[in-house]
Amino acid sequence: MSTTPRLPSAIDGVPAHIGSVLQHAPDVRAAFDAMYATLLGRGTVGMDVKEALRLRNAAVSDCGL
Amino acid sequence: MPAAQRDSFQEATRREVLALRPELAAEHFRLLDAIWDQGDPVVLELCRVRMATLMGAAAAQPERSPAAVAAGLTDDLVERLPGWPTDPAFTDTHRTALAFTEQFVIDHHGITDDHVQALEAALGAEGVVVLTTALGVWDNQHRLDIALGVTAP
Repeated sequence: MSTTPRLPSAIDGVPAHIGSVLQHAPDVRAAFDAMYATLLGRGTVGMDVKEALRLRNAAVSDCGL
Repeated sequence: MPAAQRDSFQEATRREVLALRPELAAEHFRLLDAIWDQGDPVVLELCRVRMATLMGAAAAQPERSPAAVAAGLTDDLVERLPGWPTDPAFTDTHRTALAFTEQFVIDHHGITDDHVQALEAALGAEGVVVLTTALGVWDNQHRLDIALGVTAP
């Protein structure tokens, strides 16, 4: 697993990180953020359940973030 | 029959299932629209179909992106996808994107600096972000189809 970003930042003067790298495609990033906010913030499944599933998914996928 | 009126999701369409959560469905489709608007539609569609094939996502394989068809994607090229590494019908850009896609599906930890550098050279940084986001969305969509017994888009 790479420990450094593999793409440069899309924002001048800002280091490369998940936010500044995704900004290479700002419309896609904005649409993803809107979908994710709806997924996490609303609906009948409680936040505690969603967070537990998110953490388990990250562990299984070995996602360091 | 709408999925909400069934005893289970079996044999529901994807749209029927997603309609159970209309706000989320709307955001999901807006994200897909943004992906198709920003990326090369032929490259995206080849990668989507290849991913669906590798994941055994039967409902997604016969779908065709209208944008990709309008941009020149043919059924012949789709049928030749299994031979992409050596088939001359595929361009270097197709091959780079398909190699990245297959590695993403088979073992995402196996993606290397070389994979990303090659993809950036072919599609630009924007294209890398668009394709990688698309792969994440389609991975989720294929798993949803399979897990819930979705039989058609």
